Amino acid sequence: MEENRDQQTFIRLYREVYQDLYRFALYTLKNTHDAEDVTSDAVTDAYESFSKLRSLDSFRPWIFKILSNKCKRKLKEYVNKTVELPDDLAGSREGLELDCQVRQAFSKLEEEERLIISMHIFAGYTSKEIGKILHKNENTIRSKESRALKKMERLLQE
Amino acid sequence: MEDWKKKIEDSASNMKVPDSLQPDRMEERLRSQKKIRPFYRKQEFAAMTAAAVILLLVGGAWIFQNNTNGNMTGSSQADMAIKGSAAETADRGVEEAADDEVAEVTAEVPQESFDDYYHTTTYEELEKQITTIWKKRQKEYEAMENGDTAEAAEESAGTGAYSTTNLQVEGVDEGDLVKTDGTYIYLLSAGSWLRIVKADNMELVAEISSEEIGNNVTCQEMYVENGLLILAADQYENNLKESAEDVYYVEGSNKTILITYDISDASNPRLLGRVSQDGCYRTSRKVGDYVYLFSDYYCTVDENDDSETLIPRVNGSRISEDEIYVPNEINDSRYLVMSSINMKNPGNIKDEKALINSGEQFHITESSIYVVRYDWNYEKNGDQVYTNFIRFSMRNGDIQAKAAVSLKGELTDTFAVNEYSGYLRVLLTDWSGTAEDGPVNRVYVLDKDMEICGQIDHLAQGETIYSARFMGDKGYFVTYRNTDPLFSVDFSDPENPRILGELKVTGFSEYLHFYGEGKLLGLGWETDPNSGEILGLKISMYDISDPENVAEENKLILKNVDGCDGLYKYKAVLADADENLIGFTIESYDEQYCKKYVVFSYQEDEGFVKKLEYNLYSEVEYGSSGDTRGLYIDDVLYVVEEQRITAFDRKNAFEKLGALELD
Repeated sequence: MEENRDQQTFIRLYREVYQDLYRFALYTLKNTHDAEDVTSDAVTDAYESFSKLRSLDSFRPWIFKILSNKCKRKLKEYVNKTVELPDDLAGSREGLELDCQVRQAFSKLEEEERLIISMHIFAGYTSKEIGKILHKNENTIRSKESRALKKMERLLQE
Repeated sequence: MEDWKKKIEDSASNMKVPDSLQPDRMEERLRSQKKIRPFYRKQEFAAMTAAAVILLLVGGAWIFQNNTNGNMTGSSQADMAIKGSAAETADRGVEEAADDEVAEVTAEVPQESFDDYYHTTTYEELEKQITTIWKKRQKEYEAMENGDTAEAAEESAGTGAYSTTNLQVEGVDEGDLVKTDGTYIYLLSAGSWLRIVKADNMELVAEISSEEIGNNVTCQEMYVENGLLILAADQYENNLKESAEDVYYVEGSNKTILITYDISDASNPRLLGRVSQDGCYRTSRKVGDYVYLFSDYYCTVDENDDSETLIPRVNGSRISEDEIYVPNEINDSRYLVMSSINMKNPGNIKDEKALINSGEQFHITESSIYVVRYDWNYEKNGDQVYTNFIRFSMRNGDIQAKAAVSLKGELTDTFAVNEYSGYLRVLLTDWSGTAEDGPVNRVYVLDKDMEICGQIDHLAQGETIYSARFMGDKGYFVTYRNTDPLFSVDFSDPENPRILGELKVTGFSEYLHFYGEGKLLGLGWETDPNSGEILGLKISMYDISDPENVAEENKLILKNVDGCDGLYKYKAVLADADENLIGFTIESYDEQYCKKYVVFSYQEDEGFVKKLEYNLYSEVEYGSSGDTRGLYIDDVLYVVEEQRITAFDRKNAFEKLGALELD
């Protein structure tokens, strides 16, 4: 009985975040395939440990923490990989012309820069929380983010 | 900046989410999946491999005077040094000569350099300016986050029979989540419980919930000293307001409160007094009988409501207009509110000041508060970031504005600012150059008027600063490109700081801690010098005792570690050379997320020896996984988690003695 109720609650909460989860993974990893995989993995893990979540209010940051850990792992794998992964983010033609340009510019950022900005925009973390997850000082996070956004601006002006 | 975030967000809104992730499909899949696991399941962890100890000796032309008087702010010595330096520079002007201890206490007028940046004004003018800037910023307002970054750390003496919080400056106490007085362990759990546990029999003797303290209270940090427990907390207040006839809305506001309890009977804490000030809790310090409390106040402009929220309040009354410092170029409506409270009178505020534009970091000694803030004014400065340093003096609770300066670059490490003998040493990284040249690192020595009296312009050109530590008149900096040079800088002549030497080793240290005489402990990452790939967590011991030959004496690499709180949170590190204890948490994201507390000892001939590896409640649970502290009382080491305290016998191979589970 209880299990059933938990399941329904989980799905209800998932419904509210799934788009952001996927977009977070896609913008961080740039590859649709991997983004789908890690999101799916993260949801499975979250579901299994759902009973550990004390407050439903923290569902969003909690599931994003699981997902960002998965993305970090994946990025670590990329470093050692020799094959080029297709960059689906830059290649995607969906949406307006400006959207495509923004995505292209975004995909040119460093991995860490993409991760930080995605964490901010899609997961809604503050610099302090991002610092905690990435084990960096929050000022460093702020500097990195502002530099990355500056970089995007330059790329789009080119 | 907000504009770009919006564009990125918009660009994502058209990206289609794959079918497999659609909620209905997911529901189907989860139904067929294994059950939700129970909470306290036993976890299996991959064994952690510890690499062999490697001894690396690199010679270098190091000239180094070992300053055994590591006393950063010992009052009498510091005062003498300040007087001495003022006398030496007396010929530079009457103002400096007058800047002795007496002037420090009685001076009403801040030094000239302060006026270049800040002024006071009338309520009327201030309200006008604040309203204008608030409106200007409202749309593009970047929700600036509140945090307790900021503190560089110095070693705590640790000569007693129990451990104390890892502090920034000796003589300046800092609040923390866990404290001990040698008999009891005091613990703040998840912001909502203050718990007092008798250490020897692990009995919970008292418990105060945040609801008992007040509505919407979140406990932040505390101090325990001389039979007093001082608790700093945030309180969120909902105020119902009427915007039009019969139209009500809820307006929230944040207050910082400081509550003092008498704990002479630990099982029965008795409330002695409380004070409050507007804004979210930022940080605090305790010097002698005085607590200095800092909060960030974000004012809101309410068209319907006069100007009630424009000026921050302390203990219910507005801060007086001549105690609010306004930047000459105002571009933010955020205030930093500072107050002092005498513990002998814990219901009253002794002194208060406010500064518009809060700070990113604070460096606080026994006699000075340095507020560090970044100036990100793109319209004016382009890519160039400036860092402002604003000095306040404080003595016996009196806080006075003194001087300010603006310098190019950013403090990339929280430990890169430090005062010694009245001189502030700062290490700034300037990223404005071209990508090929990389960052430019500069070291400045500032006097009490925040005037530059010495500098080094090109330290480690093109490399990134990872950590810094000052001890006495020496400074140590770790930078990184592919190998990790540890620089040492001599500040004994403030007008001529000079680089003494550099030691190159692999990897980089992100946290440095003086570990007994002539030893510097480094915590960081080991990297492959060719690929730059991170190979594991690295613990290093540098020998800084031999002036001719500073070396990395020993190192240990912990593989499969992805995180360590101690790297950026000095209070999470237990490092006590007298007791030979080095403790911190490690995290791993491999396969299954796990978090452990590890304890090492160190001997020159055997290197780092692992004494304890203990699995923490390692839930992926965000926010409540909380911080973990290690502390000792005599022969017992306690690992204190939010929901559990575990005791280990230091005299018997760290055998587990028992655990107290808390909800």
